[in-house]
Amino acid sequence: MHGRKRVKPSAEVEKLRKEKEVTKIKEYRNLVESYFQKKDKKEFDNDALALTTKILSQNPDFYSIWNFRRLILLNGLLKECSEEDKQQTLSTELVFLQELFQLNPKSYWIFNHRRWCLETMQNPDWDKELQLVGKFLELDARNFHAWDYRRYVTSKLSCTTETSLTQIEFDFTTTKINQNFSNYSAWHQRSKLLPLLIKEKNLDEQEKKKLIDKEFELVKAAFYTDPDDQSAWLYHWWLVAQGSIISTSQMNEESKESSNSLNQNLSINTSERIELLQREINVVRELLELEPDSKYCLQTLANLLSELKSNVKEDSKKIDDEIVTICDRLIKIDKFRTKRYEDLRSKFISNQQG
Amino acid sequence: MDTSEKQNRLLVDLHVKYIQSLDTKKDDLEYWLTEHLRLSGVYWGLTALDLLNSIDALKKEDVVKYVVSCQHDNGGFGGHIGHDPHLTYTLYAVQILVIEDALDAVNVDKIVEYVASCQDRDTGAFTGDEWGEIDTRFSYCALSCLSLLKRLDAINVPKAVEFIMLCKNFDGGFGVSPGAESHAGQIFCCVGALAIVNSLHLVDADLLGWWLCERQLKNGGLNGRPEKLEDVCYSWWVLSALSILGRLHWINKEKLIEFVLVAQDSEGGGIADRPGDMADVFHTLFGIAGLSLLGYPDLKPVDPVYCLPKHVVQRIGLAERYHV
Repeated sequence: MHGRKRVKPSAEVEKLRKEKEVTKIKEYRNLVESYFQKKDKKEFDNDALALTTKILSQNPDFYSIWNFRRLILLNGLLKECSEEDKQQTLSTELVFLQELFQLNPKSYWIFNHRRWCLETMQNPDWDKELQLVGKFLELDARNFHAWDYRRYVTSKLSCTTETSLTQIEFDFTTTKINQNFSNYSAWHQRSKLLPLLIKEKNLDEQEKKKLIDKEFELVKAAFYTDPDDQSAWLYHWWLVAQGSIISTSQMNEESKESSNSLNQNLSINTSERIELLQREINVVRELLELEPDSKYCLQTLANLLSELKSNVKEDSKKIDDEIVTICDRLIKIDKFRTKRYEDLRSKFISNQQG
Repeated sequence: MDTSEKQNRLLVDLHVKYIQSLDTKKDDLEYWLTEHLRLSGVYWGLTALDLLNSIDALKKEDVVKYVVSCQHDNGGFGGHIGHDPHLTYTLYAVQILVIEDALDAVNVDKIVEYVASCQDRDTGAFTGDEWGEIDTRFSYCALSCLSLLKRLDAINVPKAVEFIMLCKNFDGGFGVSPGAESHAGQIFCCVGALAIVNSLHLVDADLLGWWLCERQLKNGGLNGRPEKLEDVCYSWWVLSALSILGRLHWINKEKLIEFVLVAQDSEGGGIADRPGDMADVFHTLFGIAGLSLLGYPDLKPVDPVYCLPKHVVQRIGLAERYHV
């Protein structure tokens, strides 16, 4: 149960509610009772379908009813009928689901049943589904069920049309991010699409670098707009780490294994790596002058410096000192997470001693 | 004692009474509308009671009898008597039976067979049931269930791990399926699953730990994704993952304890998703389990991987098998 306010009704109000519920409970229990009977007798008829409609409209999380509904369709309406009728039946099913979505935009079971309907259809209209999910994301740009459904629909669409939708979907995340820089779901989606885009477009080194630089521009605009929002900062750190071919961090170890990593697509040498790190360090330092208390800004600077240290031989003591100073500052600013900064600091203090 | 004073401490007796009363609310429509969660409710309630040192508040005989009545011929369990079998309920059933030390009441081989039948041979993923929904929640359910039954040999563990790793994201977290955004609930499932099969080295603990500790908001509560509202259940999903990764100290414990305590219903008992909301047994367990991880006094310790009282996990010889 989420987000339902606790109210303490008077004894009289409570009595009235219970009286009203007596009838509702009786009706509902009768429906459920009929379901068990029909299921036992394997009655896959229109009455059974209507029964599941009634129960699911009231209770879309009753998963067994969805299962029964599919059995009714498979053994009844969809059995031994023309492709046309089949299409019609399942289209009606989609309309029913759309009505349920309005009240329950985050139900696993409803999305699940929708996928089943479309996959059971001879001619699913994936374009229509893409429009539908676009509307969901207009209503709630962070609905992760809707984002999942979007990835599902676009993968089906690109299969049937044999064209890649990567660029279109990449542009979709640009739109969502420009509407709201804090749309973490869109940044996440971008982290999946960018490596794919580079791979599919078969870009040369220069073009790849240009595309990545554009990403750095976008993410800079985001954290300059709201330095307190972590979405852009995490994406920025991912971009920096992805650009590395020599870093020993686990993130890079892992992405080397992944066929879609940027690393395979973007090979830069150490001097380019240092250049990139220094450029980003400067970007972050500039912002820090305007926002001296931005914890994500400070954290990112510490990350970048630490990464720089593993790429240069000189200044190692100076870098350690600066990271320790940053940690001290973070400990003062971000009281809830002091232990994390202490852990981080200890790595650089021990380096100094060692 | 006024409400705010009451909410300074865990209202143990009230919560025990609240959990005991759950099966008596038959004149509420809600009771009937949530029938599909009955078995889950027993797991949430029973685990909470054990952590509260009050397991006897529910009669063992009744609990075991009820769980057994939810099993199907194929070995799987439904959410209630007559409800269809599903992997999530199968895990809840096994968890309850392990707590009650009553696995001999059911046919374990059949359960193992059912869980193994849910694995996709090609991808290593698990479906929730025969209808084919795939989700990393189900990977956790399968691995946890078979580990509790000491029958991980029944499935392809390397393939299961391979699938989980496909769900890893740029922030070190995990989503429901490959491509899906990181979500704290899913992170608990994936980190827990990896811990069960000794594969925590695949987790980027510093990066994920950073993401997880940033879930704590100014009011002390934790959210499940960036820029979302706090919710008591993340006191479990986020905290358990941090605990498994050895980074529980990266959040402010006092502030979180305060937040969970304020979400208690100081009259009717139980804990809500956030202060001022209706309590339910789901948030009651995850609030209490979170407090247990935080070392709140007089609670039994909870195991962060299995979400079971630690003494239960120790009794069956599984405790501390995972390493960071």
